[in-house]
Amino acid sequence: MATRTQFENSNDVGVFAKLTNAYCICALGGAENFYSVFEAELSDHIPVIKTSVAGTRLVGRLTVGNKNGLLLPNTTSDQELQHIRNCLPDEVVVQRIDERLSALGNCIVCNDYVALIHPDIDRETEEIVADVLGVEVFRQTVAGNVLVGSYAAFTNQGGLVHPKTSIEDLDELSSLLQIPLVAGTINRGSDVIGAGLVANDWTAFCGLDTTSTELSVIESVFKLRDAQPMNIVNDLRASLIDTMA
Amino acid sequence: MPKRKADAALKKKGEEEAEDAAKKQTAGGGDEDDSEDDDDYEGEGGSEEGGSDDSDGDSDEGEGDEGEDEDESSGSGDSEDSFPSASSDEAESEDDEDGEAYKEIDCAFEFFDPQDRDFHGLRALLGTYLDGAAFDLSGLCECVIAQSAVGTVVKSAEDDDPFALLTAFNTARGAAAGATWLAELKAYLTTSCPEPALREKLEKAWSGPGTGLLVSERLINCPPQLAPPLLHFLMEEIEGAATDPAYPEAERSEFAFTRYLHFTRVYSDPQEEEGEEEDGEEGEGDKGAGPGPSGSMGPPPPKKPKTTAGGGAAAGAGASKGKQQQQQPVIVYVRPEDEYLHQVCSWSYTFPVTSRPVAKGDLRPLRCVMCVEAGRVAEARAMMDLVVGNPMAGEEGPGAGGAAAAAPKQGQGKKQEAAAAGGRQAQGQGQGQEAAQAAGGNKGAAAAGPAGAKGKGKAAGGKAGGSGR
Repeated sequence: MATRTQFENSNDVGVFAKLTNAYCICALGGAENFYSVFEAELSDHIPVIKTSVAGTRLVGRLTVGNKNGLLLPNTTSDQELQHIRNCLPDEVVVQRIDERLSALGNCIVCNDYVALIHPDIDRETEEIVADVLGVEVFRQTVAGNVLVGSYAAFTNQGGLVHPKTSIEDLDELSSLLQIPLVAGTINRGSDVIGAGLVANDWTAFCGLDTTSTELSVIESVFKLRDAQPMNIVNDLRASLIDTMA
Repeated sequence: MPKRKADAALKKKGEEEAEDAAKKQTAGGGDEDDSEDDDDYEGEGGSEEGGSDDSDGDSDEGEGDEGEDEDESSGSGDSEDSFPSASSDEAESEDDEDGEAYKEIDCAFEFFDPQDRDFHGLRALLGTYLDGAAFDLSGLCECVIAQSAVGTVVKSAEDDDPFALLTAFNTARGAAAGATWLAELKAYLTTSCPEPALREKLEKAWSGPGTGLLVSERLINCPPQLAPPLLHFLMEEIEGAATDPAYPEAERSEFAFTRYLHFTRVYSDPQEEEGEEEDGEEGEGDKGAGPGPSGSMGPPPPKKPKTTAGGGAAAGAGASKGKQQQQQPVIVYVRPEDEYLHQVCSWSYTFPVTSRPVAKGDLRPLRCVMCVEAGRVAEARAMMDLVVGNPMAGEEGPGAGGAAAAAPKQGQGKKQEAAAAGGRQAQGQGQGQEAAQAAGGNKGAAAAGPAGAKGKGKAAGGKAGGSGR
């Protein structure tokens, strides 16, 4: 089930949060609304933690992770690293890496099995990613953009990519990742998918401005409706005519 | 914002502005064609997150950028219409003695009606309009875009995100009057108001007919030369909307403003305040939250030697001070029109911005609310034009105003026309089109210079960076 929310007037939920199948990280500050929306949906299943990374609120764009591990940029402070390690389950390996491209969330996108990385990432980092996150790594671009983490978001079930991705690229990525992919927008026409949306296998969060059409695309490609024991028709109807509600 | 840098920057901007490398012919028309078929969900193409605004703004303001391009002087035909500032166009791109910080780059600024494509850019620009408080930002952006009659955004190219916005809404009637964001704004202003007497005045002004709320937002460090044309267009459009017989009476009266509420950003200089305490100087004509009408006519009295923010008459938009009363902050204006509007306003108050931490010794951000009678705006503009220079001067006049104000009413289909005139488009309402064609040149003409070279302008800036040392 996809939920709309905002972080202090910003629709870019993916900047201020990182969501995986095993944990969720939210940014500090802002109204408690943001954190409580995540908590309400997720805390029964996975830990939801609040932290800053490198003293900033941009936790979604600076970190990358999946159920196996979490990678933090070298600008993360020791206190933050310790705090995150304490809060996350032991199975999740938390590691701080030294990489020139420190906005890991913009340069790397992954699910529990596969990752796409920025073509200029170090070999060493690529190995750490493969190791810590337990994924197969591919150097790719999305719609000609090297910031794969900004322009694509995917889970184990499906993915959403930049609206201008060509059919050939879509097919290629889809076969690499072995999941269905759709090219679309988020937050009323924004093409920065990774910043606008966070998703895991059973839920997703996007900005308040997301239109019902965009929301129904998200729910269908990430297979969120099937994850709920709800009547599919009801869901579909709700997301399409919610402006009248 | 250190004053000296602002002064020097101002001087350089004067030279920078002559960027209409319109002399360089490019197939600039190509730019206009792309897009727009009501494909509302088409992403913003070029610039993605709002972050790019900042970087654009930064590079354009020449902070540490190198400007190698010669200033191809604005000798082209429409020089009085094109945007370069009033200062002379020396082909100067040498270093200041301070080196990197004062290199010039050339930039072109173009003025457009707000359009749907600007939605995300406007969201980024207006995100902190209520200083971090949550409000219906999307609603505000939609109102700005929907009001095609009045409102201007400044961009460096049509596809870019806006740097600056100036528009006006009637607080009591019209589409914006019932909007959630307007109510939230009013609540914010009311609760932040330090004095009950002023609160009453605000309430009265807000609910009275004929009050225009000015929504004005600019990237930090926008050149002051943007202000006179912005105000020029605004006043022209307001006058046009209020008098154009093509509009129904009800719509026209929506824009018959008798007073303006201006909500803007200023700064206070904490060092000034400390220096203040020992002089029991009574300020004449408080500029702050006094219950009486504030605003003085004369120049600020001579300052104590501790003054750091010296009166920059020549600097214009640089730091300037308000009157000194014991408890009044020394106000530093970052937008040129604020200083002069404040001088002619009927009442005003300031309150501090608490949403972000400020380093000790830095200028403290404040918000300022002022009410200006419509009749006095021209006075303020005249004062500002003297200091900052107005490339649009000479196009004023009721006749020109009326015709030109209908300018934006070109339909989107008429893009080519707008392209020729300088890339000024509007969401069509199909009214006053004949005047529009003629006047389209007028308003758009500010961009006429760089129109053919919009892409070039950016390229020039980029090249400058690249080919620099």
